[in-house]
Amino acid sequence: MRAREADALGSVVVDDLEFGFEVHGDRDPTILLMPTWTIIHSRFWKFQIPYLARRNRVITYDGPGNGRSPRTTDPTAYAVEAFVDRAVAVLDAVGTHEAVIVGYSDGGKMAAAFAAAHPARTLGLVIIAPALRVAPPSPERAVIAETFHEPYPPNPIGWEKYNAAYWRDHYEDFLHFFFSEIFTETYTTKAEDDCVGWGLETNGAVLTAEALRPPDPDHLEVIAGIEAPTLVIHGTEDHLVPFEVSRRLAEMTDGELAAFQGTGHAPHIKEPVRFNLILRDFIERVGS
Amino acid sequence: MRARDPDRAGVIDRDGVDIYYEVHGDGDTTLLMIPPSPITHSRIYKAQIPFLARNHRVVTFDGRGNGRSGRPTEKASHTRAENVADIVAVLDATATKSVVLVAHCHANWWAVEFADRYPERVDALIAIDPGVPYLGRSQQHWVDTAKTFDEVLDDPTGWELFNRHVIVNEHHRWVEFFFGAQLVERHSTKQYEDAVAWALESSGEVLVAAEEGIELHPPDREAFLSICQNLDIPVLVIHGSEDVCQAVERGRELAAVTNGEYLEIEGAGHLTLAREPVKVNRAIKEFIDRMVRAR
Repeated sequence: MRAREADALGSVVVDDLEFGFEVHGDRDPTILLMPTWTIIHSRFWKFQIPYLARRNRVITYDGPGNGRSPRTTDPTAYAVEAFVDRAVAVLDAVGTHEAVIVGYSDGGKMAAAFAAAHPARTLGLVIIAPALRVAPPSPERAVIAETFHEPYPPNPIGWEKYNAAYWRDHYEDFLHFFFSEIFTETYTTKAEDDCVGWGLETNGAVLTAEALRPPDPDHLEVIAGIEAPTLVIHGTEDHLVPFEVSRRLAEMTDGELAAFQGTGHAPHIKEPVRFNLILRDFIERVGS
Repeated sequence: MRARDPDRAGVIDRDGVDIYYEVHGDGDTTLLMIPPSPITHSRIYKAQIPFLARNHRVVTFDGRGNGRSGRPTEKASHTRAENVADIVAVLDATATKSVVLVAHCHANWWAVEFADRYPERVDALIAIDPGVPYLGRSQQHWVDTAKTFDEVLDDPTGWELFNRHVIVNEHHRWVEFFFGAQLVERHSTKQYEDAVAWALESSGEVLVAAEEGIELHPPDREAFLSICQNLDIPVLVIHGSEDVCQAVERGRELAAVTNGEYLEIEGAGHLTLAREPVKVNRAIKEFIDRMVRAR
């Protein structure tokens, strides 16, 4: 049972794949909540949608591999540029020219790439804990790419589970590990359960295909193309993406930085009220 | 993968030296991005070109000695006059009447001489971390290494790597040291890797020839000051406050003697355009908007 049902469900076909989107509310400015890593789908915005839809048109869509979109294992479907193209198709389908673009984690790259490719359609840019390489990754995460396709060790621990074969054999265990890293705070059982549930709607083969996607567009070139007012939000205790990334991104874009003291990788889930108020305030300023 | 591919590209034969150029976008104003080759090439502007090409026509080229341009090894092929002639050839090949010059580091010396000689072809000058003679002050390490440049040194380190024999025989050592020293800001791994990779597309022999070629037949201080003072164009100087290649006083004085605007980016080093691309891009955009409105 959801706090608010969508006013419209639709889909767009891009590159022969059909993507589901939802529209909540009907007033300008439009807010486009981008997908993120395919391990979860658009329900991860569940604390934002009902609140924002009181005053704005809120659009979400599911990227390939989860939610109401096909479980393709074609890596090219997961290119950052492809996420941008679908976002444009969704806005066109809804008849919206411009929007405040909001992206979280992997979706932070997608939102930044949207803003850089379509400045005239970007009223404002909100980036939460973005996976942008403007500061070093955390040391544990820096090594995972090297062992991703290797056999995993017996009894793997921690980030050793970030491994294609492990995802094939023990996908659910990986989900529990991964989301325990996201929610570093106490009292997060419900949030973790939600995320694991969304994760179980897809599978290890899909995530492996995504890991093989084409290289990202150059992050510096993308950031250099941002013209819209920018708000960056990041938890200071984020174990996945260091807070330093957002500090630097805000500095580069002359953007605003909202630091969530003591919060992990998902401030919008763990601290939804404060998060929503900050987002609301930003939308009112850039949307008027 | 590039954020934007050129709309048009070509190669000019300049007396036997290939000069590769690109044209991005269109608009009433053309910008010419002049790279300080051969230590780098046109990709140094990778964070500027896609942005600026949204509203303007942007022309760039690989300076002689790097990128897709030729690799002459004689210092006589790297004089300021030859580099200025390359600019003329690029403008002619792209049917460009006049341009806003955008230059980084020592490419500003070519830009200033081009503007002096072809005033009718220059709308404005945007000088980033400018490397021009006499103005402001030289960093002490350049003064010191000039004295030992030709010597065979025992176990040179640090700035001593700016040495003919090191650069020719161990090109990468100098290049790695130089860009490591320039990127004074934290978390510059990507910029460092880019800059070193572009530099290593050239060779030490070419780099030495270019270092010597630019200094041939220098004007005296009065003559150079007079050129700057007589530039009858809008000028914007952008300089990183922590630049260890071109001291910040140099940018300040260039702005003062050209009656130009000056933007100092606090805490930024010599690769301001790669480290602070959003600030640099917005400053260029606003400067050109003001210039166009004033016409």
